[in-house]
Amino acid sequence: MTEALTDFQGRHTLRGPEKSPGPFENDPIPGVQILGHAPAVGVTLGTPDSGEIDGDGGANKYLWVIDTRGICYIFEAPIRELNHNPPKHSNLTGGGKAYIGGEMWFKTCSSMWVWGKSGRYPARNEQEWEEAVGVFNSFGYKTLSPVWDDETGYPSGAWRIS
Amino acid sequence: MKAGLHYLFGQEVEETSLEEVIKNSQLQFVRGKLQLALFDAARKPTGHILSAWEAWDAYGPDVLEEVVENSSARLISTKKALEETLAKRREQLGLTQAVVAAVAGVDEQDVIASENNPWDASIMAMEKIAFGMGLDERTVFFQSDAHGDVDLATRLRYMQGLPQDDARWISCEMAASLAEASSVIRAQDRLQGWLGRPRPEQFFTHSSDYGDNDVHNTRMAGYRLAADARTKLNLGNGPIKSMVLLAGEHLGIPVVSAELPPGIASATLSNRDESGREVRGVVMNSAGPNQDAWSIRVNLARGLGHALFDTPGRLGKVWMDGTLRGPEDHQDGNPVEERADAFALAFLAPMEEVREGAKPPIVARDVEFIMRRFGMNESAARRRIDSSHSHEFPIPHSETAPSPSEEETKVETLDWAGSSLCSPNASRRGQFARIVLDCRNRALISDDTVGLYFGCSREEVRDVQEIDPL
Repeated sequence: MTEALTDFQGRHTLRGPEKSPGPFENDPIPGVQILGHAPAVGVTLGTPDSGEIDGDGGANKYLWVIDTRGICYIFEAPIRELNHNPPKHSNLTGGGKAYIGGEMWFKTCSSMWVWGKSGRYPARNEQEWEEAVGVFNSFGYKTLSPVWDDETGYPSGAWRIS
Repeated sequence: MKAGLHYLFGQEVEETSLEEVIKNSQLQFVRGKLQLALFDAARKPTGHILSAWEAWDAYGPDVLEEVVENSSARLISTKKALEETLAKRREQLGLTQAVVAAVAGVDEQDVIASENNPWDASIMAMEKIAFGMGLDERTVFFQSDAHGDVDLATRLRYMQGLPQDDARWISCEMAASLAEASSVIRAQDRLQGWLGRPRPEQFFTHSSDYGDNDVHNTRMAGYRLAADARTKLNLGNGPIKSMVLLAGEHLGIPVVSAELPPGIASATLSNRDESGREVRGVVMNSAGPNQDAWSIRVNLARGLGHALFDTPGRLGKVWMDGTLRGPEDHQDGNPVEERADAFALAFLAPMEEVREGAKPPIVARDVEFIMRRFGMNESAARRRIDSSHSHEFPIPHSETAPSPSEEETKVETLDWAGSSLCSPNASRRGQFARIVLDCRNRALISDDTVGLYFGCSREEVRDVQEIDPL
C-alpha cells in the first residue's frame, strides 16, 4: 500500500464492469498478482503496438485494474480455465467492482508503459486517469503513459511525440 | 458476426439484417484525431460525433469491435500521417494556406496549426481542411493517403502553371474550388448510395467510339449515344423537363456550382471513392455562361456527355468545356469535345423533331421555336438546326431574344438552399444540400457531419428539428 493508492481509493468510486459479459468473461482466474514496490519480479518485458516505438509489435501485454486490493495484474495469454481464451479485465475481479483498468508493458522491471484501454473499467475522467498513473509512480515505477484525449473523452490511444 | 457487434447492436441480429439495424441504431460514436470511442455526453468530448452508420461505413467492423473491447480504437495510422497528410496534399495541389482556409471555411490559423502543430489542432477543423482539398475527411490520418486522388491534384497544379492566356489556365482559387468540388462529388455519391438512389453505371458504360477522329463520324457517335440514352431513359422525342433533376435524381451524377474562368461553361471531374471506384461529377460555372436556365441545360447536357461516356484516358481528371458557339463561329475541335457537344444537342433536341419544327428556308422564328420547345439557348438551337439539316442552309439569329420561363428557371436551379443551415458556398448548395438534409432526417449522418458540410455549428444544426429537403 502507498499513500497515493489509499488516497485514490478514497477519492474515486468502485463500479462494476461497463460491458455485459460474454462466456467466461466474469469468471475468477488463477495467477492474478498484486503489484508491489519496484522492481517487479518475474515479469516479461515487452512494448506496446503504437506504431511509434520499435519493439516486438505489441506482445507481452499485461492487464491491470486498481481495486480494493491494490494494482492487480495478469499476463494476457490464453488460460485453460477460460476455455483457452485470454482474460478480460473483469476476470481480474471475478466480475466484481474496480476503480479503473488498463493495459501495461514492462520496459524494465522498474519501468512500464501504462495505457488506459479497458472496455470494462475505462477511466471516467482526466483526473482519475492521471491519479491512477500516479499510483504506479508511488510504487517506485517510472511510467510512460498517454495524455487524456479531450476529443473522445478517454485516455489517448496513441503516443504524442513532442 | 463479431461478439462485440452483437453487444452493440443486439444479440439476435443476423448478418443479413445488420445493415438495417445499424442504420436504425441510436448509438453514436465520437472521433478524435487519434481514436474513435463510443459517444458519452458525460465525458464532454470535443471531437466529431458520428452516427453508428457513419462509423460503420468509414471504419468497418474491426474498429467498432475494438471500441467495444477496449473503450476506444486507434484511428491514426502513423505519426507521419497526422503530421504530413494535409501539408502534402496542399503541396500536391499547389495551393496557399490562405486559399485552403477560404475554401474550407476555417481561419488561416487553423490551416497553419494543422500543418505545424497537428497534435493540438482540432479534428473538426482538420476534417474541414481535408474536405476542402479533395481528401476523404472521414479517413484522414487513418488511411495513409485519405483516398486523395493524386492524379487529380497533379492535373489541377499543372493547370495553374499554364500561361494565363491558355484556355485551360486556372487560378489558385479556382484550383481550390475544383478540389473542393471533387470532395462534394464524392460525398454526394456516397450519400446517394446510402439513400438507395441510382448510380450512372446502372444505365450507361463508357464508349470508346470517337469516330476515328473524323469530325463527321465523331458527331455521329455523339448522336447515337444521345438516341440510345433517350431510349434507355424512356424519354421519347419530346423536351426534357429538367436536366438538373435528370442528372442528379435519375442518373446519380452530382452537379456542383463553383467559380471557374469566365470563358468556361463547365468542368467534368473524375475522383475516386474509398474502394477505388471512379466517381464523376459536373461542375457548372457559377459565373460566366450559365446565367439562365437554357444555358444551364445546354452546358449540363455537355457535361453529361463527358461524365457518362468518356473513357478515363480521354477525359483525363478534369475536362473543361468552353462556351458553346453558333454554327459560323464553331471550329472543329477535339473529338472529346465534338462528341459531347453532338450528344448534348441531340439529347436535348432529337433530329426528327427539330427538322419538323424548323423547315427550310429557316427563319428567325424557327430558331425561337426550337429555343422555346427544347429549352436551349440561341447558339445551341442554331447549331442543332444546322446539324439536323446537314449544314446545308444558313441559320439566322433570333429576333425577339426569347428567354426561359419562371417555371423553367425554377426547375433548373443549381442554388437550392431550402434551409437556413445551408452553406453560403455555392458548391455545397443545390442537390448536395438536399441529400445532406435527407440523410440527416434519416439519422444516417450526425449533426456534426451536417455542420461540417454546411460550415455551421453543431448547435445551429441541433436547433432545427426536421428539415424538409424538398
